[in-house]
Amino acid sequence: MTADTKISLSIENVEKYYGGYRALSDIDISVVEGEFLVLVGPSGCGKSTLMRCIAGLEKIDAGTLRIGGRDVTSAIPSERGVAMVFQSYALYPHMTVADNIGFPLRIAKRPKAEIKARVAEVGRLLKIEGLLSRRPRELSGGQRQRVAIGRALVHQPQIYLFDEPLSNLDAALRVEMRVELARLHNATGTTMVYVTHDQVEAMTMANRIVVMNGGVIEQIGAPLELFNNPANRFVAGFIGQPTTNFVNGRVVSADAGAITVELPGGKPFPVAVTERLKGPTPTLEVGIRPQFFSLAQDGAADLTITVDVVEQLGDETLIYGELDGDQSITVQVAGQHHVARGARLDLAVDHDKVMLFDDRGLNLCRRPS
Amino acid sequence: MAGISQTAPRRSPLMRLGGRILAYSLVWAWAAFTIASMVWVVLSAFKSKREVLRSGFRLPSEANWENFGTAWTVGKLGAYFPNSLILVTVSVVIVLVVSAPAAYVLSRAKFRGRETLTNVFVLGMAIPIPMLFIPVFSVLAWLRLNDSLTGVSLVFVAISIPFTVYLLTGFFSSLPKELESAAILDGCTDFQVFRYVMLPMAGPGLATAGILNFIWLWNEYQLSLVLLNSPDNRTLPLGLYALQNAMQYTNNWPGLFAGVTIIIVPTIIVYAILSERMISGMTMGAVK
Repeated sequence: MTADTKISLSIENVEKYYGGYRALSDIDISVVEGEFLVLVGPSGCGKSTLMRCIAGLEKIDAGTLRIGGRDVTSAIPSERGVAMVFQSYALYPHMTVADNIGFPLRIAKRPKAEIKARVAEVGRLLKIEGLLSRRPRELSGGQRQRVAIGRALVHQPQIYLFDEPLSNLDAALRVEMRVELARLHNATGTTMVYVTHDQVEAMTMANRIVVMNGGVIEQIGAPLELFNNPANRFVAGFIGQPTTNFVNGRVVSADAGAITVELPGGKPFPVAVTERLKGPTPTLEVGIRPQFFSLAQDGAADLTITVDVVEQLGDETLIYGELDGDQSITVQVAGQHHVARGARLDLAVDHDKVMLFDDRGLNLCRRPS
Repeated sequence: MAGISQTAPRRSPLMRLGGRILAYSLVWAWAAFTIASMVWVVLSAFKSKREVLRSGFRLPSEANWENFGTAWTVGKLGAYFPNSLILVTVSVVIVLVVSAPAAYVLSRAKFRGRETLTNVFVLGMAIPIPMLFIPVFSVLAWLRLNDSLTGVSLVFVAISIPFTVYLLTGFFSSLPKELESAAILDGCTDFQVFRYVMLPMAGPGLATAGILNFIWLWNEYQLSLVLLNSPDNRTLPLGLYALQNAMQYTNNWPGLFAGVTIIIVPTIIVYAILSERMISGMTMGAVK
């Protein structure tokens, strides 16, 4: 972040309680103007609560919220300069599309001519000019989502908040809307905060991702930084598709810069580490992404699995198998490979991409990107 | 919910079928009885005095429209009809205007004592009307509103509020909360959220409350009998009672049935206009 970088949204030490339950704990995030920030995490991790706190729909119990440098901690939602798109679209069913989009302006008592012009402008931008006289029930899911985005656009806010806006759409439409949202972000250049539990959405849309779990931030970083250098086991497991394999490995030797581990039924291999092990540790959790396996050539196998299920995706093959000791392994290899169920398959591992996690779940191999 | 479905005893398909047959039989029997009674009343309203006791469900040999004339003029239903229409319509409108905001606040606002207040409204439904005769009469006398349609209207509003608030509270609770949040972010005040978003969406609930109150108050007899003394202020149920007394001495049963037919027509019209919205209100969980 450079000195002249403008902070659009600043969340400082925010905490939120529901009775005795701590929903958000010590949340600290700075969002740069024009940034597309994605909050991601499993259900119940607090990402939607945080978004509602930013919007002012929930009061925070501690900390400060600033938008455009202004303290909005106690400000009412409509004075915060934010607009929100909801998961269920939240369109007013008794109003037409035009009335839905123009509603914020009507409440702000803007002149009718201005409302009409702004609604038409938003309709053109979102390609829904022909739908303005319809009611929400007469629209498809994708069209409803556009109207919801339109109602947010007409606010001309400092920050757009998206609360899982694509999760009610089918897979094809989701991809289409994802691209459109990215285009919209490029066109408006406005700060966007986007909540999702879909890590593919997070990876493809974000400038930076905030991974949340149990009301706390696990890691903040660029998508590839999280993929390549997850801070801990949770982030390694959450970011990346198919999910990372976690296998118990025996520690053969531990030096300052490398730890040699051995997987069940495999041969030992060294892994470069950036953190030292604290005390003697007989085993470590080894994290290997499915993409970092390859089919071993003669004698170069790091481990051998017994094949259980094979999925042919055309350009790649997913192989699900088990290591000796019943530990599951998922392998993703390029091209089409025909492997029989129950066959023994020799695999090589890209040692530079292997991750080691200590007993606290911290990644010992944070490599520079 | 999951807990309920897991612990609910599983019934065999035969038992389910038996239960369904029993339920459908009861509903059909009830519907058949109601329809048969109404058909009999309407048919009898067109028959002559001789025909009415002999022909049962047979069509009248000729339509005796003069029965309606007798009920309207001799039975003075023509004079009582506007009393009932104005009294009930005004009362229902006031009940809805008062109850809808109250129900919205009770269903959505967070404040200490909300549940107690809701329970007080529910408790209001349990008070038997005869218990209110003396206090209501005294209060109206003190307000100098005894024996007046305005006074009865106030009482109608008061006794309808508990049920209406209860009904609408359930309805408002079933509306999506995200719409409220969206309206707040769009700049609405609490009242604007209610006025522009929640109230229009509560149309089916309001229709349900409106129609149920209309039918109830249209047929209300006990309070009207106690509170209205002047013949000029009588409502249709009181008029019908007077008509019954008059007709039984002249054996003019068709005239009485014509009176009954005149009285049920407005409720059928109101139901026909609002029933679709009322049914959608019921299926949205407004009526439990």
